[in-house]
Amino acid sequence: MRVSVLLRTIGAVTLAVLAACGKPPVTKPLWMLPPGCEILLGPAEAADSITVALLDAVEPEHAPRARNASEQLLFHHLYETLIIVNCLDKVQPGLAESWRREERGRCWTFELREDARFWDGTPVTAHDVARSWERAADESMTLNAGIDSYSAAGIDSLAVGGDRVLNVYFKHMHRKVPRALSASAFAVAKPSWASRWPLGSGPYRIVTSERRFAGIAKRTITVHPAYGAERPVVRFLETSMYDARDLLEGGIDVMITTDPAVIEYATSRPQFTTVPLPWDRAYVLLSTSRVEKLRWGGKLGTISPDLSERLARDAVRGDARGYRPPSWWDDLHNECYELSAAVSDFPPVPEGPYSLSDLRRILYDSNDPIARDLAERIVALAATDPTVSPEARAIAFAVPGLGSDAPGVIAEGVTEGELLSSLLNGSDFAYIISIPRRPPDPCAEARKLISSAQWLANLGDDFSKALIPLVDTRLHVIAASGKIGLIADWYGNILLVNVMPQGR
Amino acid sequence: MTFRTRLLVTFLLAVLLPLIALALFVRDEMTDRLTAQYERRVESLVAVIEEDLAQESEAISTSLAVIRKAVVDDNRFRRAAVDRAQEERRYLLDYAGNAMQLTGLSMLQIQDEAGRIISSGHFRNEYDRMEPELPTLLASTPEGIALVQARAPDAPFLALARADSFQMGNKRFTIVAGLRVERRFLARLAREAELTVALVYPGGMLTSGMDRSESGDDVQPGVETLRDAAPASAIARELSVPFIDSKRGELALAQFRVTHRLTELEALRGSIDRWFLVAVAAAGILAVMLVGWLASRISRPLVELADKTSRIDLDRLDIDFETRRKDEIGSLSRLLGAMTERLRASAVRIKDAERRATLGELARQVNHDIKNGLTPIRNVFRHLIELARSNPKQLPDVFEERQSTLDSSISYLEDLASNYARLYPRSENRPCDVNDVVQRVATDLRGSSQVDLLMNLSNKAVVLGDPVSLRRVLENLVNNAIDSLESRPGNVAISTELVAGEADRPRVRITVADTGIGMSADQQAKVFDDFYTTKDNGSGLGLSIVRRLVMDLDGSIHVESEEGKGSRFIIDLPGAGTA
Repeated sequence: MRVSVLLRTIGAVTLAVLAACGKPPVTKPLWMLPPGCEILLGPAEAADSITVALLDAVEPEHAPRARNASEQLLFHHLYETLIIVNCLDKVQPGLAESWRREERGRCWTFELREDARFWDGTPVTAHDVARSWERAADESMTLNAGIDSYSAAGIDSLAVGGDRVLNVYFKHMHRKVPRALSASAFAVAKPSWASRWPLGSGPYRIVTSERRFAGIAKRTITVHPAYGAERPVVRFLETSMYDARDLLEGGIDVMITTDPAVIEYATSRPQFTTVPLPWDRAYVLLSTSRVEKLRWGGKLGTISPDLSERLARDAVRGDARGYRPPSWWDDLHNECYELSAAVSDFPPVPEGPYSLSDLRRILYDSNDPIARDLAERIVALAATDPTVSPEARAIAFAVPGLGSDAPGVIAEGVTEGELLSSLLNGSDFAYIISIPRRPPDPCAEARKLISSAQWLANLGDDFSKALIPLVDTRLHVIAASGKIGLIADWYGNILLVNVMPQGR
Repeated sequence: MTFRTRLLVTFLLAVLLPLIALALFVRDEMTDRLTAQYERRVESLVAVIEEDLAQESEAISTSLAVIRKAVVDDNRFRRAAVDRAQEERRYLLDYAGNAMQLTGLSMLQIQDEAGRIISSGHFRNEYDRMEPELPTLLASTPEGIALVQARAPDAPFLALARADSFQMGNKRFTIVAGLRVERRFLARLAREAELTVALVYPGGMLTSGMDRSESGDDVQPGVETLRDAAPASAIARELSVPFIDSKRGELALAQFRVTHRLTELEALRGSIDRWFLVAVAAAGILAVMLVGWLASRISRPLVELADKTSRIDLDRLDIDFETRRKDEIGSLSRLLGAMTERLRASAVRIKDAERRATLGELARQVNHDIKNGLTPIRNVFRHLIELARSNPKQLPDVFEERQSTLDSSISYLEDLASNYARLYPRSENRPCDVNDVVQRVATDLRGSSQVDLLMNLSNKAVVLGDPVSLRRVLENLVNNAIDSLESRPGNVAISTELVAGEADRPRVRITVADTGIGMSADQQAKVFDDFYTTKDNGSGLGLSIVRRLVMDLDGSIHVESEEGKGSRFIIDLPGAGTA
């Protein structure tokens, strides 16, 4: 352990020195690096095969842009981005081995790795990168997914400067290399005529992808290391509606989950190691009445850290902690340009939802148990006399209209689509949503949030005051002890590696 | 009103009125019994509902006991609730939810002495909420059970709840547990489709029936929807249950109102009425048809009798009243027949008497007229006789004097004879082809009779006479011959021949023979007498007229007959000349 810490420190110092020299670092991809961000040490010898559970459905058509945690886990092994942000919040080479700022940061030029190859052996060119990003932008528009990452990152245009040189022009200047390019939305893939899976350049390549409905797996995706090594063979199993604990008994080696019962169970089993990932999501309460009051200059409070902590401890039946400021939304003024311009014509805050004569709903995603717990707690506090309960008082002060005198506040779980639809128009009283704590591009994330809830734009650049952070949450990875090593990046994406104790 | 109509009406009244009265009685009796049975059934169902409610209450009580025992034995709970160990806090918060699911309850909350909720199963995150009045009010209800309004994240709900308590350390805790009262709960109580269980409580009403919203959602408490039972239902029973109004913190009263739909009973009654009407209508129609047939059957013979009777006339007494009926109508018919027979005989006697009277009158008149004519002649002859005795020499002179008187009287008598002869239609005597007449008669009679008519006609047989009279003679004789057969197989033969006559003047012989019943000698002797007949309906004038007509034709007629073998009527007429 001490060796790894030392090595990590040395690596960080080295990177810092190189960065200070102004030249972009030329380093190998993360997974080729000496151990630095491993969250789980690997075995002395690589295992022959590893089985990873995917608890959500994965679709080849979504690759390389993940839409859920399982796709994120899988695609992270198959597809690369130009740059990587490691666990120390440092940018490292990915597909691009180097990059430089030009035109005072309006343009960033990336030079791709010479040895970057797709699975079919063809080199990854700048054209491939450009086309991949353009396809992503088209898909976002087709799916009507709101503002797409492409424009959210502020990319203006792309120019191919050579086989391995890509010029990325931004609408605004970036002093540092834009971290948005490390998001999976900017992973590079090339369509394949032979498979539904697009070709990637990641450390693993798909060998087979079978769909069947027998046993625990609906789909089995077998991947092999893409470079050199033959082991381990990794099987990603898209599992049916099985209890995750049964999956652990059924031979699963790696699983990512938030289920406290599963985590507790795995913790009690010596053959598994449970590792918490970074606190990557924050649950916030959005309320139309709060925005309306703030818009007119009203003074409203927020919940105290103590209350937040009690919420995390008591209300949430999962791994949560009280919200810890600061967050990316606390200080965006200097970084984000034209926040409000994200919504050119934003609507006023609708009045109906928080009318005291109507039944008011606090909406949440019905598939999100943490959001449900928080919503129910808010409802309980709303019905509690604030004169006897400090928690009720704090909530009532933070959200106008949420008090024991008001009739009918209920919590209602809805589908994701219904939630997004209501959120867009502000047609309900309040919402419990989760937002990333470490978005690759906070400005893009802010624009995305405002586009999702256009009435937030009534507060302009101070839209973040509408957010009432409640708790932070994180994922846990459960892995078979001593069978595989795991590396995590800044965003909590894990990678299976054969990490030797000596850092080979 | 005709006899038939009177009969019809009387029969209908005699049949339908009792029938309707009986049917009404039966229908009322059936309806009353059905209603009574239905009500007994409803009563028994209501008793079952009461029992079910008691069982539900008992189930809650049992679950409470189980939870109480489990929680008292639970060290982790003790550490969390009594020792306030933070590491067990989540266990405490989740405890009521787990216990609620295991025991099948819908509501479960555990409160401390101050009334603070330390664990809630139906609303996990309402911990720390104060509700001290709930267990207090529950404990104050007569049977320790009441309806409460339980909060939930999505919507509050009604629950039938009980409370229990336990001691842990030096602290007292209360457990409030209950079962959700919603449409399904009430529907389970109702069991039968015709029963509806409604829960009426301050601020709202739930029902097991389908008269809620289309989605079947329960009414939210607070919505004023209290109303009476639907018009098509009757309240069978109301079971009161305490209701805890948590907003006001006081006890009220709610009611489980059991209603039973009258629609089915009404439908049953309606069905009985319909079938009753159908049965009565069918019976009525049948009765009408039967009565109509009977009336017709009874009245038709009377109508026929009446019709026959109406046709009776002195000139028409051949109406047949023969019948095989043995009933009163048969008797009446036979009586009428006998009466007609007597009338016929009377008519014959009357005709005979009239004829005799007429003849007598004629005879008197003739006698009188002849006397008148003969008297002068007699006087003259008496004068002449006396003169011949006394003074024969004056005879020629006196005869010459009295000759005019004789001539006058004789002329008077001649005129008289002429006048009397005019009374009898003068036949037209002319040459008449007998064969022709025979063939015409045969032709006419063949069309109206099934008897074989045989003809054996000679060469031209011509007589001098009236063809009409000759035809009348032949028609009479042939009809009599046919009648003598009495519908038995046989034949009638008509023959003509020329036979020698006086002064070398041939005569035409017409023979009408039959194979009928024949006549006895006595009958043969009287057969040509006036008013003599062997037929029931005969006038007895047929053969006498035949004889007279034959005599008018200067002919003769005689009969030869043998009983059982047949008769022969032989007519001889002077021929008009031979061909």
